[in-house]
This record gives sequence, structure tokens and C-alpha cells, in this order.
Amino acid sequence: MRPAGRALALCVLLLAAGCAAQGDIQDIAPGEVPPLETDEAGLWMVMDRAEQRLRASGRVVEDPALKGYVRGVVCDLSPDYCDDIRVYIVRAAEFNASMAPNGTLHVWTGLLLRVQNEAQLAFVLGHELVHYQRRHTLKRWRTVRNTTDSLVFFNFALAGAGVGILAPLVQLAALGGVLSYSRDQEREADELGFASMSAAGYEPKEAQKLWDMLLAEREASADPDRDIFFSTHPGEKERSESLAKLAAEVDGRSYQVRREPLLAVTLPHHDGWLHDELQRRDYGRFEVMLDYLQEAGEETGLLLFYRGEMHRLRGAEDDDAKALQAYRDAIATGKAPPEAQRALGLLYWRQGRNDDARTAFEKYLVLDPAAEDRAMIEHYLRQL
Amino acid sequence: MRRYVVPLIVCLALFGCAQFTLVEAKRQEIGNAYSVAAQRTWNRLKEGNVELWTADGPGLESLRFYAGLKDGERLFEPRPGSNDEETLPKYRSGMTVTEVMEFVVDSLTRSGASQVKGHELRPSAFGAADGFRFELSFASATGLRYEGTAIGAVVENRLHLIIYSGTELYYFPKYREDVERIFASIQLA
Repeated sequence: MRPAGRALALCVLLLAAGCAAQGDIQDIAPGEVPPLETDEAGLWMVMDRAEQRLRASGRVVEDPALKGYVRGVVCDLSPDYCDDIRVYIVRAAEFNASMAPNGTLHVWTGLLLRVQNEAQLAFVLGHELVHYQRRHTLKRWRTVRNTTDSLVFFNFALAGAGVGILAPLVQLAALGGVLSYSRDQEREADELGFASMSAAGYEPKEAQKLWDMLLAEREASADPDRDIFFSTHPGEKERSESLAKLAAEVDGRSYQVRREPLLAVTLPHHDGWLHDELQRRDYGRFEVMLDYLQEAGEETGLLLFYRGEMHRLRGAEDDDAKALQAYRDAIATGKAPPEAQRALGLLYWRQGRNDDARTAFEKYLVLDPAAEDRAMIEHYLRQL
Repeated sequence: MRRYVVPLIVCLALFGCAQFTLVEAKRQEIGNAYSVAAQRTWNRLKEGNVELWTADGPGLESLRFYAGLKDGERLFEPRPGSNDEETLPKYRSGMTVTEVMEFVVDSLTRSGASQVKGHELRPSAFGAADGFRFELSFASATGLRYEGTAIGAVVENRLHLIIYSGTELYYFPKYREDVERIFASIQLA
């Protein structure tokens, strides 16, 4: 059966099963699996298929240390549900996480790049776990079914946020019901997620800091309406204020942010993830993200290199000069990737500064003797 | 009668819009910019500024010919309703060869491919022109792995480019030798 046909058939099945399943919905118990004849089992079946598609998509990051770390935070926050949650690290630029009712937790690499410490990650994960424990998707599904045309639920869930390159991933996340959580459910997930984060000893103020950083990025974006995270998490201003209020109410005991454990597993991936973000070519957003990462104070060499890359690709007035400066600054840290020398050489060459270009290309080949483009760089050197 | 409706619609969808024509096994002109010698027959489809050849189907393998891409032109057409207009990379005259490979890699990524890597960039003759070669690897949105190889040259600020890609298993290797002969047969107009 084709995907649209399957979705329709499942929808009919869910409608039929749902007639016998009214009344209050209790929290899901640890280890609980819905009985086969229920509408919830139908929802799980849809999610199981989405999970299979995700596994085949080639976008799942198979790094045991990274996955084990995120899973560890999930289990610390919610030990009773640890065995019910399956964590997937999804290679995708953009800040996003989603929780499906069958226990599938998607954490996008764009999120792992941006969170500055474990406390911020714990807030997001705690929030998503609330959606699971409180059966928000099932509640939403029954509300929609009882109030309007139930096909809307699936149409909405399957629509994705536009037809961008991440549409298949957005649809997978949407199948988890995340697109259709109500504001009340989001508020509840914020409050309970916040409580579980602070109960686990994480600094509560980090929740608002993260939220404000995402707002700043959005304001700088060339295309804020296409923001996947904000399209699924409404009420941004209100949430920033309510998170600040919640943080002010917690007791005065000492909390931790735990930055090092996060960086130990994410830093090895930062080069690739920064490259993914740059490929979105949303330069305003990228620059704000770089500012935040640089302010946090890690790996300035790599961040300056990507600042240079951003200016080089944008190519607006003064961008060549800014790129040149950023590459030079990156190299001065002693921790820039070898490609910074190559990029510097290409810029000098374009400006007719052939001697400087030659020096930079030669340094690149010294720093990376096995460079895959060695033959091309040697060809450039012969042309200079 | 009703049972024929769906297959008919599928047939129309597959063949009605896509106007494939036969590429005979002889020298073929590509956009008045260069020519190549086909050693076997292919199916040709013209879409915007690209001429596509395939033997078994574009989802399995294809050769994409670009002839004289100008400043501001793209490898792929922006999709309606998307933000491709702002984010799909454009060719800029004056790009170095390193930047041309980056342009191809980023274009493939923005068109929906994942894990796109360009590698082994090296000098290569493009007919009589001083050109370049590089290899590609990427995955489709559903995770199918592809390999690719590209050859090109910048002539008078315009980019000539041929990209061959196919599924890593079976189809890419199947026509690799035919493609190498095509690359070796390039003659500038």
C-alpha cells in the first residue's frame, strides 16, 4: 500500500478503535504498551513505521558515546521510563527535538550544537519526556477527533513545515504529534520539564537563556517563518517570561550546568555540524549562532574559520575583507583547521596577492600533507 | 474499466510530462558549447539549463550536462513554495575550482541529498581546456547511497560541467566505463 493509502487506512482504523476509548487519560506507566484494539495502539503502529523510515534514512548518527550520553541524561531525568525511550540522534541542521508516543525521541544535531551545557539539554529533554509521560499526542488526537474532521490531524501531521530539504524529517517528527501539541500542553511540558530539570540539580536559569538565544537567532533569520522549532512550539514571548518566573521561584540551593561532559561528546562533531548549518545559507541566523558559541568560549579557531567561510560565501560588500580578517584571526589561535590556510590562499589569489597566496597554499599542504585536493593545490601553485 | 484508471494515471505521470528522446550512439552537441561521443544509446531529457541522459532511469543513474553556466545561474531549479530562491547556491563567475566543487556539493545538499561529500579534486583536461575532476558521494532523502564523478572547466567565465551519478550498488559501476569514454571524448565547440 502506498504511504497516503496507509495513512488513510490507519486513520479509519484509529477512528473505529477510538469510539470505544473515551474518558480520562491517565499518564502512561513505565513499561506500558497499549492494548492492540485501542486507538493508541494504532498511533503506535504509525510511529513504529516512522521509526523504521528514520532508521533507513541514513541520517541517524551512530556514535555510541554521543547517543549513550544523551540517553544517560534522559535516564537521569526520568529513571522509571529509561527502558521505554529510544534515543535517535538525527543529523540535521536546525534546533529541534521531538518525542513520539511510542517512545521514540529524536534529537537533531542542530540542537546538540547549540545547547551550551547539560542543563540546557536537560530542559529540552525533560520537556519532551513530559509529552510522552502525559500522553499528549493521544489526548490531542482524541480532542481533534471529537471536535473536527479527524483527517485534519493527519493532514497537519503529514504536511511538514513547508517543502524544504528537511521535509521528510519534519514529517517524521510531525508524526510524533509534535506539530499539533496545544499551547496548554506546551505550557505543561515546560512546567513539568522545568521541575524535573531542577529536581535533577540542573541550573534552572539555563532554560530561559536557551529560549532567548533561539529567539535572537530567529530575529536575525532571513526566513523566520520557516523555523521548524517555532512552528511546533508556539507562544515564544510568553514562554520566555514564564521560564524566568519559574526560575525565580526555585529555592536557593546550588545548581550545576555541567558543560564539560556535553562538550566531551559533541566537540568532535562540531566541524561537520557547523558546516551543515552554513549550508542552510541563512547568514544572519548563522552569525548570531556563532556569536553565542564564541561567547561560550570554546574552540575559537574553528568558529573564526566558519565566520570567515560565512563572509566568503555571502559575498556582500566588505565580506572579502571580513573573511580575510576572520581567517587570519583563526590561524592566530593556532587551532584553526588546515582549510583556513587554503581559504586564505584562495582569497589572496582573487585579490591578486600571488606571493601571499603561494605562502598560504604551501602552509596548507604542510599542515595537511595527505590533503585530498593536493593535486589541485599544486596546480594552483604552478599557475601563481 | 476502473481498474485501468490508476495504472493509466501512473503511466501519464511517468511518461506524459517527461519528454525523453533517444540519444543515438554517435557524437552529440551539448548546448552549442561542447560535444561528446556516445558509445551506446541513452535517453535524453532537457530540463531548464540541464540536459540529462539516463539508461535505466534518473533515480538509478544519470549524466547531467551543463553547458556554459553564467553568473547567477543554478544547478537546480527552485521548487515552488520553498525558500530555494534565497538559499539554492548560484554560480559566480570568478569562482575558483575549489569553490566550484563546493557549489556542486552545496547545491546537491540544498536539493535534498544528505551526507554529500566532494573529494579528490584534481586537474583534468576538459577537451582542449584546462579543467578539473572530482568525486562525489551522497544519500537520497530515503537513505539510498549514491556515488558520482564530475568533470568540468571554466571557459571565458562560464562553467561547463558534467556530473555522472548512480546508486552505489550496481548502477554507478554499471555505466562507469561508458562515462569515462564520454569524458575522454569531450570537444569544445
